[in-house]
Amino acid sequence: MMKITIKKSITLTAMVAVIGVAGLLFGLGENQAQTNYTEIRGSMENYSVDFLAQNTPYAIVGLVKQITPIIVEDEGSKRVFSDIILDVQKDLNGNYKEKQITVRISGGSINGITTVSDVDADFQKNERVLIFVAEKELDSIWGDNYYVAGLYQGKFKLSNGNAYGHEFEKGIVESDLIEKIQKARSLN
Amino acid sequence: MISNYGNDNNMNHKTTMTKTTIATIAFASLILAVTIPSADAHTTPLLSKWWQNGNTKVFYIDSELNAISIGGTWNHASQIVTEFEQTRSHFVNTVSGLNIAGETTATTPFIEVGSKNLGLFGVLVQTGFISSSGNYYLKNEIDFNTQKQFEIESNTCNYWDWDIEWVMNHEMGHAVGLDHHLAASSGHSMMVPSCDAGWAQIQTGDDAAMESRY
Repeated sequence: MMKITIKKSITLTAMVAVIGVAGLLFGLGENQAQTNYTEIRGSMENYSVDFLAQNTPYAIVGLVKQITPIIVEDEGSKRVFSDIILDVQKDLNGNYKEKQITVRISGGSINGITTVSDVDADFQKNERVLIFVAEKELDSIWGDNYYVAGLYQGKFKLSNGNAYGHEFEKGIVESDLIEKIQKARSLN
Repeated sequence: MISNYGNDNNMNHKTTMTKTTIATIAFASLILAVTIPSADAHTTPLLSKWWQNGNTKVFYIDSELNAISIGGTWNHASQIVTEFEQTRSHFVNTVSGLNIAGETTATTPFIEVGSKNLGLFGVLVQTGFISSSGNYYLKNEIDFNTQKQFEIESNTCNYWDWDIEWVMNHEMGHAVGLDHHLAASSGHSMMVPSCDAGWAQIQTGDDAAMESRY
């Protein structure tokens, strides 16, 4: 009985090992096949909600309608940015008057070219969000485009009456976040 | 009687199954313990690629380095290069299998150090892994944000007062293949995402990761 048990154990372990090694090999194979792949790591200051509320022109509540990746040539390299088009529901600052706004983020994938950034906000279609938007800076990598101020720190996902994002990873009641932003701005 | 016999059979079968499961788990654990190097919880995570045989070099773009603000003034390329060369030496002297040659021309494999306007509300510095072949880097690029202000030997990372040597340590860590260490205890890694005093030098967790890679 014991011999049978050991035999079964070895067989099962071998099967698990084979599956694991095969997975590893296929995983590596996929990785090796990736070309035109750019990975970006960034170091950031800590942007508080109060700081962003007081120093950015727009605090947009909106719904993500479209995500369009685009390739930008940068000193001989190709890097993917994505343009995020949002239906504007409200600008908490009252400055933005258009029905839609387009903000650019770094990262995306198109025509076999991929850029991954660990500091940019990520968006999903039909996601409801609150974003702090920086003014256009023509000489910057963002060009003639708005971008999310503080990158990932300047985006909050709005869901079921709560807001989730940097500083409030476990969530804050959406109305409390809006109140906090308006209060910070009033102190400006 | 028949029913009891059936129960005994089931019991025996269950016992055998349990023994098999326990033995399998024990045996698999043993195999894992033997084959996988012990993962120190403090060890900094590695990125998926690295420099072949630990060999690379640094290329400085002086015109771009002159655009970096040091204490509110510009044209400090030579001073920045001197600081970065100290960082390079620090890495080479700490990690035995890493050979990063000094100031050189832009031929692969290499790390390019310069600057870009990354936006007033953008990153402080970014490291981009922009060219590779298989698992090996060919070119990495470190860009300081021209919209931020750095200091030399300020030993802090406050707004408008970022110790450029601390930042160089962190970015060089990325450039040789270290990822952010999200779970690091204080002082065990210079690769924590938010700047702190741990960025002042290569920490034990970083060294362990680089030694395992190179």
